[in-house]
Amino acid sequence: MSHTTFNIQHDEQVLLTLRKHWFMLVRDAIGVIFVGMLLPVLGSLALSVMDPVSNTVAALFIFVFTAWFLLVWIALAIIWTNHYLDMWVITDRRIVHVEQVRLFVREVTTLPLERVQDATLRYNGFIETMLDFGTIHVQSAGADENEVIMHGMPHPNDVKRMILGLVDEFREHHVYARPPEERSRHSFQSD
Amino acid sequence: MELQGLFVPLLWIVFLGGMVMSAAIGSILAYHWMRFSASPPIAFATIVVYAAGCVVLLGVMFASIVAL
Repeated sequence: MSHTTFNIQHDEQVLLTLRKHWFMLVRDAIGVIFVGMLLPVLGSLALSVMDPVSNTVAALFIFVFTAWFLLVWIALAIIWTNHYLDMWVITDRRIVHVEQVRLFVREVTTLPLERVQDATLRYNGFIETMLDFGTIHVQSAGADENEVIMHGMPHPNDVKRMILGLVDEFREHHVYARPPEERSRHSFQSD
Repeated sequence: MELQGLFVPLLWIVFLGGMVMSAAIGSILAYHWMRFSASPPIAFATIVVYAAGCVVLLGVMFASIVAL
């Protein structure tokens, strides 16, 4: 695990690392691929009408198509970067949401398990339901409203169950294991 | 059909511009991949795939100008 985005403490255990569902990448890239194919298809149609095509014209068309494909290739690389560098890490202490908004713009949100109040899950439409990915909204109990919304989460039901299970386990070991006076002080600090 | 005047130099300028742009954006992307990726082998593989794609496309552009 790279420590360049956030610091994992030496006694902290990473339980799950997740990336967005592959369909999110396809959804973002499909428009670029479609537009990328449009020019060569139209150009090929124009070439098929011209008869005969000289070598010079053919070479010129190949140059233009290839230059266009280079732009498409670079756009796809940027889309892949924004997809690949989005990440969720669930440890035995917190949930970390790393979002690559665009090049040079990156957000890292951390939500300690003791602050998690609830997690809601939403499948938005036919494709998300069939491919089993959706949005998880993890709400914080604190006043700072440090909440995490994770779009395109694969197997969100399992992830939600895992998060709530970890929260219960965390509270059992770290809050309820304390004497009652410390427990009330802890809940006061959390609130 | 013969291409006249500044047309071929213009194609060379487009080619050089494509080369500079793909190298500049590639450097920025490679920085992101190496700096923020959780997996160095995947970051390295991504750089190789990106560079290979650019080399192939720029090679075809180069060949098509030479063929003119």
